[in-house]
Amino acid sequence: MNRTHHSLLLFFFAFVMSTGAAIGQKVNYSEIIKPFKNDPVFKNPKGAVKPGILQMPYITWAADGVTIHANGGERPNAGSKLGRAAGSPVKLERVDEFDKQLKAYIAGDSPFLRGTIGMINLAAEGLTAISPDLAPIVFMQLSWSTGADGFVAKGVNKLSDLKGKTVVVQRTGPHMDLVNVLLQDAGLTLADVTVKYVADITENPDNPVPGINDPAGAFRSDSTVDGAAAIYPDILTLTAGGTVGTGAEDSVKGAKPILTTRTASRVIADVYAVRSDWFAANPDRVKSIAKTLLEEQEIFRDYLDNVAKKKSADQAKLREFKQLSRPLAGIFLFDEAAVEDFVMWLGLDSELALFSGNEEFFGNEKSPVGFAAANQRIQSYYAAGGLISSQSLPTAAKFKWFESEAVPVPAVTVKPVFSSAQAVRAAAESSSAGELFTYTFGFPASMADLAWRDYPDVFNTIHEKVTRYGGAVVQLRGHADNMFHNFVRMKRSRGASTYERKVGGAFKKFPLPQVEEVANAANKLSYSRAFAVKRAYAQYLREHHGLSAQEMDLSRFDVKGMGVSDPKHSNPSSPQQRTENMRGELIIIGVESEIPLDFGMEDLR
Amino acid sequence: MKNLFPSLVFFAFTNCFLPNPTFAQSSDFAELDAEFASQTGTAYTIIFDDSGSMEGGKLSQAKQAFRWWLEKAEPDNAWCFLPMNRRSLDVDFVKNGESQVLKAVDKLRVGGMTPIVATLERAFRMIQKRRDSVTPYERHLLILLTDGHETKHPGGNDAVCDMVSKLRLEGVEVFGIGFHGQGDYLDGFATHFASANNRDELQRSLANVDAEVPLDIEFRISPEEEKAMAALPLGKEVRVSHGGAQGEDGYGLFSEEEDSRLGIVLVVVVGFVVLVFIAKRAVSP
Repeated sequence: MNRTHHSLLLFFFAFVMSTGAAIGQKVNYSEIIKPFKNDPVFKNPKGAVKPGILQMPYITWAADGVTIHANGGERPNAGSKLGRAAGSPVKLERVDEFDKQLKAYIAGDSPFLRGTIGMINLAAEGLTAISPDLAPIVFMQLSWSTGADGFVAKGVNKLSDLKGKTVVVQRTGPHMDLVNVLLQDAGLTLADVTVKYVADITENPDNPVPGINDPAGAFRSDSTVDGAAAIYPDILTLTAGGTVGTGAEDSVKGAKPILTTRTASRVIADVYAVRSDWFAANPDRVKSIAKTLLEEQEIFRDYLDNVAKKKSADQAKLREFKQLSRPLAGIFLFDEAAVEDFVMWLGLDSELALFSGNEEFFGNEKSPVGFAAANQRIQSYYAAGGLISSQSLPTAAKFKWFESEAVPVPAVTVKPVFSSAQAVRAAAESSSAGELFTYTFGFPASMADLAWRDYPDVFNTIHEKVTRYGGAVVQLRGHADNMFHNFVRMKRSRGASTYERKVGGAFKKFPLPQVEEVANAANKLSYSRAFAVKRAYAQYLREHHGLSAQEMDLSRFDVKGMGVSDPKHSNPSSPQQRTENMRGELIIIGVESEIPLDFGMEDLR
Repeated sequence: MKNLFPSLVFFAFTNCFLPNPTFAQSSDFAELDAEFASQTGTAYTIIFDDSGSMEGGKLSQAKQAFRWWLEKAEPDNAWCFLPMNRRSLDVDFVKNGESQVLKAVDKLRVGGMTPIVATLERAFRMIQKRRDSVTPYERHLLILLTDGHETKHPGGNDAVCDMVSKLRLEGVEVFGIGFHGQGDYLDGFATHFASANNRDELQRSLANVDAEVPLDIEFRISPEEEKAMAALPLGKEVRVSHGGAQGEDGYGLFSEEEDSRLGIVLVVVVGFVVLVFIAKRAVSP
């Protein structure tokens, strides 16, 4: 696995884990009260937001380092960029436990919630039930998780194998939605699996409750658990460095990484939300806070782009970046010298949303991974699982940065994940590649035409998956029915040069083609079918989403004609079976270890 | 078959010479069209017998046969030309290279032996290289114009037939074109065989074949044949290489990194040669 950047983080977490990972310790499972609005946290008394120093929670996440930098540290600092934007000093406080954040939010200690879009959706019903004043208004997206989180399991090759299994996940944490999405995309519901919850996302030495409180620990200690949503360093440990766990050195025998957010790069959206009453009273302050934080993100993005220039990077700028990142490494990794790990975490395991990402997330109503679509998806899934009793959609502040704030509009550029078609093919065929989802299209005999308008729902779903799994290869495989090929082979092997077929009620003789002619025609037909899916998707993007060719990213598509080598029925004996052989498949393939990284540890030294 | 597969259907073996409508896709996505075309054309390898035995009218007849044949060849395909003796006239695969091949054919003069096997082997290597570096999905047609007998390989004509069979097993369609009964030993071994003076037969050899048959066509097949079909192993997958995803003209490259690397190598090599030249001049009296 090409993830050397995790080494220090891994060391850190391994150190933490060594404090309490012994097999046999009791796992402290906790329950989620269904619906979640009945959780005791919502019984806390509501208070008005306190004046004076503004409390703002942050969590252990690299993108929050940008927020801390904008504030000149965690302490209140009226002269900092964030302090000036907020109109009062801002005290940043790390609050990884969402329940604690909710308590402070309800009580008025802080008007803000810092979570993922899944976490905000989970809490929205309970908060709104207390008072519409508490309804969360999501006002900015900080980032996407692009490698820091994932799912590990044993006895599972693809996600649909999770049916009937038991998985463990942090209660009310960012991974709840990750698990939901994976199950949903595998065609499963929460009822198809047993979900167990623990308090922490990883081993937490500050948790006063003795025993095991994290998913990795539970997976290790409880043999009834088949899979866990975990942070990447834990996944590495559980799977013996990203391969298959042996049972030794804290790994779980047979455990394999199923995927991380490097593949599912549009699932975990980190956001800030604000209380409705405070937003109504302070719209300009909220907008100013968001603008300042996004401006700070643009500065960090510029630094990261410089790092990605590798050998041609501006060295003075690189030194400056490392210098300003040192305190952030100290805060998050407890060691200022771990600045390179912090930069890797920020630039590779997460993707800053920036102004453009916020415009897209909140403004593009057609985006399958945008705010509106995410809320609908999450709420319907929570409702089906009994976590909410009725739909209570969070709203968005919907700031228009490019229109009203004169933020420069960035040029439309689609950065390909892979450098070439060959690299895509090599990744798809690597030993670590794993098929996640498959969609099949049927074709009439000898035909390879496909119009997206004939399958609008299918293409909507495909677009959703292709976008959500932004690090995956999308392989298109075309197939031809092998019946005629078999027939010609059989006839030729018996020395025939003609065959008979019925014309006008009587059999007539026709020249028999050669085997290689039929095979070549099948190869071309199968490739044409695979390519027809790519073409139809491009047409869908242009006609349904209004994207120009420059805005489309088809670089992850690998088109493959399978000829007659992989029929669904090897000896088709009915028109039904032959029809099933005439197909095109769209397969989303996770290629975790093959995804090229923008930069490596060596580029930071 | 009629009894056991009442609605079994078969196919249509098209005798028309028009491009197969199945693949005649076009759209206003120029880049996608180019990608599709780069992967799915036909690659022609023309082997011309320019041995001494082709002296007299035979060479002219072969040239005429080639022109007839060319009339029905589809456009936008790749062309390769391999004379058996005058290798200076070789043309490696060129997209739309008909005129280049035609020019080389016109320059052809007779003289030398008939190394058919060696030329077929050379052709096979070039086809493999193209499959690996450009695309594995092209249809490969090899046209062998010869009046006769292998004169270099110890295996003689049997070795020619063996090599033709090998090519066909690798998915290369081999068209033999003979002269007044000479070269006829290829008939039955090649995918198709035609006489150089039979225009219709030559042009018919370019017909497209369908891989699938409509579901409502009924074929005659005995229960025994049906049993034999069921026992067949699966067909081979088209040979796919990582390089083969690239297509013609490097389609599929998303960065210029490799080009610039090649440029650096060229600069270094040229620089080195210049330095050696200067150094030699400097030490020479």
